[in-house]
Amino acid sequence: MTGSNERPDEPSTERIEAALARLGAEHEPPVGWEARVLAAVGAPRRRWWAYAAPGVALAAAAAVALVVLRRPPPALALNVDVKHSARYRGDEASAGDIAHIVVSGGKGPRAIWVYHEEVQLVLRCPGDPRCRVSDASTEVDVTLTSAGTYTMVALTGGFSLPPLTGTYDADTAAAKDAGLDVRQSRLVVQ
Amino acid sequence: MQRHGTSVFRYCREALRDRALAEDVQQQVFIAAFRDLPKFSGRSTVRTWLFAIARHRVLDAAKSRRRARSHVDSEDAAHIPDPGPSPGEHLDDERLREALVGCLQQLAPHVVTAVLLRFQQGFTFEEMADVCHEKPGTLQAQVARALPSLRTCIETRTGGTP
Repeated sequence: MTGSNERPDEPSTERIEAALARLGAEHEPPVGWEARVLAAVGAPRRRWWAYAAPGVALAAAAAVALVVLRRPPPALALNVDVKHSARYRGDEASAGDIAHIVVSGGKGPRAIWVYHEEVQLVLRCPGDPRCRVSDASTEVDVTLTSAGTYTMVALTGGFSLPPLTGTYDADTAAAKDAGLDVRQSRLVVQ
Repeated sequence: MQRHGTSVFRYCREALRDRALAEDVQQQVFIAAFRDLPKFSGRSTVRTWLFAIARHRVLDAAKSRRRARSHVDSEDAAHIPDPGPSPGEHLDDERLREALVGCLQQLAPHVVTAVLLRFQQGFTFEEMADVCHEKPGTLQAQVARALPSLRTCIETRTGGTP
């Protein structure tokens, strides 16, 4: 487009195009224009509850979390089920039967102590290889080898159990003194 | 916004030759863009879409200004000195720019927009067709006619003879 007979002071089309390309290059939009646009767009379109919604949602979540966290754990429960070994003789247990002991609920680690005639510690969980411990429960199967009274004790509420003496009265008293939650069940074996 | 804000502002500024009005129009462009964002189909680029809004707003502003004024008295018409003839002197870039600014004001607003979109913003004629809702060939013809007019005008303002 540039003519060969152009005078030096005649602008070529290319120079005009280049000047057009540079036109306004020195101009910048005013400082803070983005904020003004956002304010103009956001302010009238958002209702009061739009501003309150995040706070309300946060408060609701906190309340739910508080309720969940503060909900008391299920109470300590001790269940003993007798599995009869030979002849079935009603509800009574007899020597050779197996007591299936399940302790659940309570707050903190659980423990099981089993005494015969309240003076002989037959089994303790944890500590006995027959114990089965899970988050939901502590279970153990005990063979009722002798006639007499078996006392099953369930405990929870502490990480450190008191030292055992082997007698029901002393051990449960120490446990209660230590603040543990204690349940017991007795089973008479014929 | 940051990506396209400056180029939209420069287009508004040169098309309107009024900084305050350009600032206002640029703000209107982005407010409109935010509000129309759900309608943006994505068939064109965001840049093309923004400049379509900008072109519309610029032409509206130019029309309103023409109605409000009985005579043209824009800031640049008042402040840009006529470079005047300088025989024997090579036309430097600054004199060319000053003459070009004055000559653009003599073109119709829609032609100014076509020229700016093409050369200042670097749009293709196909992209310009999306912006202006015109056929590419029509826009190409507008630009092709505008360039000789600008050249003649610049030569007159700077003392050259056509």
